[in-house]
Amino acid sequence: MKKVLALLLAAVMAFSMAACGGNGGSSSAAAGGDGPRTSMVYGMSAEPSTLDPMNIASMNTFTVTYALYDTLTAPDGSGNYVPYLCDDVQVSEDGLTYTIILNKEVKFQDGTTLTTEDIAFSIQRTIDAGWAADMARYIESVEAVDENTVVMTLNAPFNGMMGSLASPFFSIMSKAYCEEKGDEGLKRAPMGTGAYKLAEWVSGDHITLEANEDYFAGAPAIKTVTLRPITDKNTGMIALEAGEIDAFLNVNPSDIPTIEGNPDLKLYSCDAASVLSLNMNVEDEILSNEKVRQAIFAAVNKDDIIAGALEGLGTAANSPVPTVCAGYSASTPGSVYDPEQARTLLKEAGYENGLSLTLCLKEDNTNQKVAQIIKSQLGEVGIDVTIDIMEGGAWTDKVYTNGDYQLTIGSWFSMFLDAYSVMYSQFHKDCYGGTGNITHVTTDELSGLLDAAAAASDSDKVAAYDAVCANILEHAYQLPLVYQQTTITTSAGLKGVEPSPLGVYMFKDFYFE
Amino acid sequence: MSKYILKRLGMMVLVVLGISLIVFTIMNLTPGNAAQMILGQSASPEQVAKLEAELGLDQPFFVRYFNFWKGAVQGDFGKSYQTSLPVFEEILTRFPTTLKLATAAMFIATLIGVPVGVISAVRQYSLVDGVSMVTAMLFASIPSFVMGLLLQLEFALNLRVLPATGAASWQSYILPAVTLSTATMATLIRMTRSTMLEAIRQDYVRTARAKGAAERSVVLNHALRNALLPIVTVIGVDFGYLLGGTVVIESVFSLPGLGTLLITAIRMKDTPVVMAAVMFVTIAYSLVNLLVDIIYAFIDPRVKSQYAKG
Amino acid sequence: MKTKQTYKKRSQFSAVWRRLKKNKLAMLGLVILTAMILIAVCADLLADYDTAVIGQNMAERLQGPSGSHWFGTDQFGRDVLARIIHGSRLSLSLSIIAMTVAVAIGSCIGAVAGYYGGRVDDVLMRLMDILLAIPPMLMSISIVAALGQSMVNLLIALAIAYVPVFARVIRSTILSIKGQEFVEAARACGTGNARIILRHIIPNAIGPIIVEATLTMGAAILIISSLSFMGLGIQPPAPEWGTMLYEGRDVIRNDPYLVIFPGAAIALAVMSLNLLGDGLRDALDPRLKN
Repeated sequence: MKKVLALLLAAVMAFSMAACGGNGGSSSAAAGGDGPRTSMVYGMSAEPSTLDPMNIASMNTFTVTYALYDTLTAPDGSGNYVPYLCDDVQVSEDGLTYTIILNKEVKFQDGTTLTTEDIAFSIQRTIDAGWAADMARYIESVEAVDENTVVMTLNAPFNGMMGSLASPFFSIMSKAYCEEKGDEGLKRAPMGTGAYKLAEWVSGDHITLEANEDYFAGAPAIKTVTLRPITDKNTGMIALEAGEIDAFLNVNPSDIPTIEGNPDLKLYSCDAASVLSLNMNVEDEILSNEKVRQAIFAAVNKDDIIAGALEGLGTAANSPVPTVCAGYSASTPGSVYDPEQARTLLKEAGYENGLSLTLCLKEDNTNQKVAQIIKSQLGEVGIDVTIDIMEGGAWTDKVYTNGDYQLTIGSWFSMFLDAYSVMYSQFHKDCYGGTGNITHVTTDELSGLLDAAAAASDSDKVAAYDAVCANILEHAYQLPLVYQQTTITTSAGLKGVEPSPLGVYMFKDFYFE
Repeated sequence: MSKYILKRLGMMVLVVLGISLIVFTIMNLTPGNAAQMILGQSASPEQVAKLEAELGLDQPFFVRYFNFWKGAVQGDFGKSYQTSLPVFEEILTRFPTTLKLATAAMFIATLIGVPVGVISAVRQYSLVDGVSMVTAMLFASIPSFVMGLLLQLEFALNLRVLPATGAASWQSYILPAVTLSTATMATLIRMTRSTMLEAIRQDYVRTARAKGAAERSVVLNHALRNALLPIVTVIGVDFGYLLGGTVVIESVFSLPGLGTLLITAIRMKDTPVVMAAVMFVTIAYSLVNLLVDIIYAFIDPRVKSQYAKG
Repeated sequence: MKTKQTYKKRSQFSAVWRRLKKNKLAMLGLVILTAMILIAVCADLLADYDTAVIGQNMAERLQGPSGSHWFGTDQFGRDVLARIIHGSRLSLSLSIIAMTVAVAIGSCIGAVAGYYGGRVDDVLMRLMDILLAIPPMLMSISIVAALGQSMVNLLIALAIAYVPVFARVIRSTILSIKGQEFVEAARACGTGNARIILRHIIPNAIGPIIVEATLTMGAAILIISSLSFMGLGIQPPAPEWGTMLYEGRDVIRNDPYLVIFPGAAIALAVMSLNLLGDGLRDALDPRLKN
């Protein structure tokens, strides 16, 4: 028996010694050497399934494709969208003709020069792919008129066009390369004009990007970016602390004090370009009654949701427009917490003895907590809520495809910082059901207001969206709950990081000191 | 024996056929639409319909099932709906991670579990017995995400001796394998203890003792050898679980294994990946169990004579 | 004849009980388990469901363990102790039902397969292999996705996951028992198959069945909590222990008590079941009679 014990002990020792010997490999991100570091590891919340930005709406895909591809316009830091990959975009007086002037210096990563044909092809590809339908629907035609100019004609004035062109859906690709690879090939072998090119993609493990030394706006400081999927937030936090990754988005709010007390880490935060909302199906028998919806508005206390479910990270939403989007107005009067008023409204609606509703939601830790608080608050005024947490596919089927739900919680993410990007798809009658309008509002009045807001001049935009929001809140279609914060935590040495409401970061702006 | 093995392999084919039908049915019956999952919530119904046609999802159930097998027998398991990669390739890149993890965990569990079980049985009701049983069970009942997190905090953050995440080096496997091994270890300790207790009371053990054999030889050669049968069963069964059930641990340690692939595929209704992954695990698992049964024959002559007959 | 049998059973029971009493670990397990069952039965006397278990109180959220809240409060200001007390109802009843169903079906299949052998064995065990080879997570997620999240569906998922495990273990025990002399003696006396299984095989296989049954109950508690942990368990705000872990994981590094207490409840329940099972096994073993 002694021998067995000895063997066991030896094995344990061998293991622990091996463990100690493994020191070198443990901190790949903290490699030393002379001069500033030129490589970084970026933690993504999930692995992208494709790197073709025109065929999916996924933040993880866009995180990578923003490094691989460029867009014609880009935000300038003060909220305006300005020409980026082209020399100029001239808009006609009537707002219907966009003349894009080519930047002749731009080269693709395969060495070929960017042409007007490529630009027209890329925009046409987006239109044909059917994604970004809310943006592409305004484009009547796009044409490379000569070697220097592309003319894009709109069918109606659209004040979000410059912003749309900055969204990943309007990435500029090489016509010849796309035709050679085909749609399938582009998913795994992207090639653009971007600051980085794809070097390696090990399925499930990592994606490696290498600097494009011939980038038209100058070679980036970070030469190698490794993107690793880290699905668990606790794991992401530990990987940050252990120096295994240099950046990670949206850590658990409760970890923020730990980060602030850690000199090796830095946290950046800003409002996200989305609104956490309670959606109501106005086609439901009970919820078609406006008074019931208004009662729900009055029964929900947003501050409790922020404290109880979001660890205080967020502010009460007053409008369905995210704060960071053009068209947002802080003066929009949001719902007021007034349980007495809620009871009165329910009584007027004929439900003085209470009523029952089902709140269905996709499996998600935060939303599950939000749902419990809403259940408790609605319970106070006599609305008995049953929570039905569903597996993701079943939820999408129920809410989007079939539309036979009562209440649900969700956030609609904007693609560029304009109210249009969140409002149109969610509330226009043309987007009914699966395309985004899950509240099933089909009034001509609201759709008309939305069309007018999309055509309004920049100076009238806020007023136009105020009218839209007033309509939505008056009829209580959707209850905006919280403006959530989005954060990025990086190693302290990483500079050039600006918090992004869209959660998309440009690696080319990053550098180490 | 070889006749028996052939027969078992033949049965494996039947098992795989049965599983493929069940899994295919499950994937088709559960709500959620692969095309919708690929395109996301905001896709228009026309886009969904177009993609369904491209993927062949608009065909009747049995046509699709038949097409799956038509491809599979030619070695073509199709492409993932999500990534468009050939499924078989994808599985082959993921499987080694899971196999390494499961093997390492099984190794740790056996190396510690069997000896501790034997000691517990020999010293029944002693302090060693009590302490080792309680400890093993406590470790086994700590949820794996907590266990993983604690190990990461201690070994990756405090001591900085092991990596917390990834699969870059063999050291990366130590923490996840230890986390994964606890449940199997506890099962092994209890199973070993329980079968050993039975074995050391058998006549042949008494006889061996009476003949004057050394106590260690009695325990190891006579009792343990006979107690091995159920122990090997547990190892076989649990190995299958380890191959298919490493999801939480893969996510906590962010390892690119089969478990994450399978769970993502299930959630995304990526039928080709689910089918191929489940069948792959099944075949691996059946082979392990076949091996277990062959080992049976070697450690238990009674079972061997049965095989010779049938 | 009939009276004689009852008499015999009673004496057997008291002999088992006498042996069990000597086993300190098993008694510890029994005491913990009894305490838990008592707590589950008296849950309503100990804590009020509507106010303490699901009633929210934001002013008192995330308070560490103290005199007024022994186990602290969670993100919604609910008393953790009250939730654990009421959670024992869910965990214990679900695992007992799941275990009973799995034991009943599994041991029948395993006993028949092991005893008859040959073609019956092949067919049954291949069926079990098929069930066993489908990853339990796929099975559970599919059942929950198809039928919705509810206790009954969780039970179905659990039973399906555990029937084959049972069948296999029982079968391997039967295989080693059926060659033994007393079974052959019974057969030589002309005893029927059913009678041999019921009177000779099952009593002799009782040890492994009980060991496996307690294991299964423990494992069922763990599976329920891991399903809840994946967000696919019992619908909130029901105080299931796994759901409590799921909700506490976000704040684990700052408020670890939110994970420690429900985790400890799970561990205690699982451990007491296992200790008791092992003790019972020793006590029941006919070969241990002196």
